[in-house]
Amino acid sequence: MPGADKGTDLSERIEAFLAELKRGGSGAGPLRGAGETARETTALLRRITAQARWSSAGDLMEIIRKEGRRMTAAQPSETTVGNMVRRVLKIIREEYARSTGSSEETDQQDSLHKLLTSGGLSDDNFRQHFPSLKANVIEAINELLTELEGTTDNIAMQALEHIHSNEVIMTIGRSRTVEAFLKDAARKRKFHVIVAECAPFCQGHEMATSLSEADIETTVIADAAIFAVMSRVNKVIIGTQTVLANGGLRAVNGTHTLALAAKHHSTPLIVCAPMFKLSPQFPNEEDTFHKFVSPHEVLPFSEGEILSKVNVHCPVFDYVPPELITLFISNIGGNAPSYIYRLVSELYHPEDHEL
Amino acid sequence: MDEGELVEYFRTQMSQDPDVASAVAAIRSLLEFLKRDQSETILGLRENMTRAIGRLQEADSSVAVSSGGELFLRFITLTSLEHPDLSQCKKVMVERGELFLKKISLSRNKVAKLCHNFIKDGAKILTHSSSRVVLKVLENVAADKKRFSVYVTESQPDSSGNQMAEKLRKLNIPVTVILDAAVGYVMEKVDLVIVGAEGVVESGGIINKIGTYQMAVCSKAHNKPFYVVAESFKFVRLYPLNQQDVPDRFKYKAHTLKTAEDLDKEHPMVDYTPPSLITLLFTDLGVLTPSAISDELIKIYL
Repeated sequence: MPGADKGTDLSERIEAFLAELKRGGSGAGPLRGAGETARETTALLRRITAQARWSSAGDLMEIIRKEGRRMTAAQPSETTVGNMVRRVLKIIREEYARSTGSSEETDQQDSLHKLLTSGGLSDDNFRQHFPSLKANVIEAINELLTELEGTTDNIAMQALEHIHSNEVIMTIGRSRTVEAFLKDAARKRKFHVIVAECAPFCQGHEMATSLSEADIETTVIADAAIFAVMSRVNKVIIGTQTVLANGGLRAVNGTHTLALAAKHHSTPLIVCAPMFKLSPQFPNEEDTFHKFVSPHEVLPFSEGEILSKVNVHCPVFDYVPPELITLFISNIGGNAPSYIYRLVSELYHPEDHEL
Repeated sequence: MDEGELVEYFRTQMSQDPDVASAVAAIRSLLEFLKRDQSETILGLRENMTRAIGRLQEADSSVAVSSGGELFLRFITLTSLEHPDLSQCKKVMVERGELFLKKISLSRNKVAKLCHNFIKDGAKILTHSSSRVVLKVLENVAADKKRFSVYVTESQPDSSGNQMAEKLRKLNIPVTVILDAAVGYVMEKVDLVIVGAEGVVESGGIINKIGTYQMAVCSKAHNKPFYVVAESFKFVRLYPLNQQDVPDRFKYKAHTLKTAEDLDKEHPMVDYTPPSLITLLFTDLGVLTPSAISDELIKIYL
């Protein structure tokens, strides 16, 4: 029966996605960029909207929320998955509100104004059936996908405003966004890049190779040399894994050191991060903030005797507080860290903060 | 209902339920005043209300009463724009007032629910003076079976810190009362600082019991997070730039304002903590950074 086939096909795809998420996090499989994860999540959510059985917006939101919870549980450190789920939930709310004819602005956030003027609690939301809702939601998700595809280019387009000739830029590790950003500026300007290698995975080496292929003068330094070299640097440009709701970052380990050195020398710290990395979570909230991988990279197993006498940790992420950051460059433009709360409230509905 | 009765009603509310926030009691009294008001026009009603709020502020000069009163006045204006007919307007106002009261009585629980995730097991918390919201937060954390200990400042001149310590002891939370002067000494031992607020100002700063500013400066120097817990009806339309800018009617008790000869010689009861020292504010509208507060205020006074 076609219905049953569609159903099993859908659940197969979801299972396959979950398995890949789990594998990707353990460091064993090929590392996928956050952009790919975001696109795949959104494509999967579109498939769920198209193929799953639901009659009202409320049902659809429940299904998506359930799948979203499973996906975030598979790999808690991959926050883009959760962010995309929340974006889609917000899309559904907006399309529903548009269908019922009420203006979208008023129903959204909790505010003092709403407390005072609303005439009673609006409980019966999302139960009405609209035949065109499915098509509208899928169209909106397609728009979201187009936006996702253009994020790196949008960010790279802003490079010329921030990088000037004969400047020394410092970066750490490897970020596809920063790579595109610097390569775009290199088409018209000549500047020098210093890359901190970011031990123990030393992704900085690949970044340096890629940048020098684009004819940019690059230097690789060890992480310990960051402070020493910082006095000669004009700007620090970094990527990040997640942008948190208070304007802080969860970035690759070593970034906090870099940020403190930059603050000490009053060097501007610019973060290039697309909007899908913005998460409504705060740093202290979850126990899943940190991720640890095998300490083999730090102290190889071949060291033998020492191993029984020491504790070795290999954390993957660092927290960078918002006071150390000067500017966020995203696909919608440049923003100060104190403005992040506004972007969070525009992208996500407060009831979706907890999936 | 004349103004004397209003103040009596307010005082009874406060004494009957010591747990209630003073702004909630003020709004309840104003609602009662509204129900019994005899004016024929909306303008008359508004004038009576303004006088009543002024009278309440003379009785209890805290910032919270002022912000509660202003919110109430504001929502009368908003309602009157929608229903030009007085009797219908009054009916809607009373309905909305009851609903508003119901919602804000839940706000303390909402705040406590948001905040308790930020306190980890084994945390050492520092707090200032006696705040019912902080008490509710700590109650929730204890109910979550987390272990933590609390340091409370004595908070002179009224020693309200001791009352807070008593209430915490009843909840079986290990608590130590410290001198106001010992905040700097203790700061290296604590993990985070949580305080309540009497008022939250437009810049995102707070007005709270005297000694809060000192605590904030100390926690900034030691890099400890400084959290504020406050309900949303405490937002006021003030923008103080320094301590002098805080109006006198908030700084001193109502009694002192009437009887003192030279205010310069009196001790203020509150101080202002600027937003740069505050890490996060927990309100019933969500977890907010100080820069988000002005947004919330604009939304209501737009």
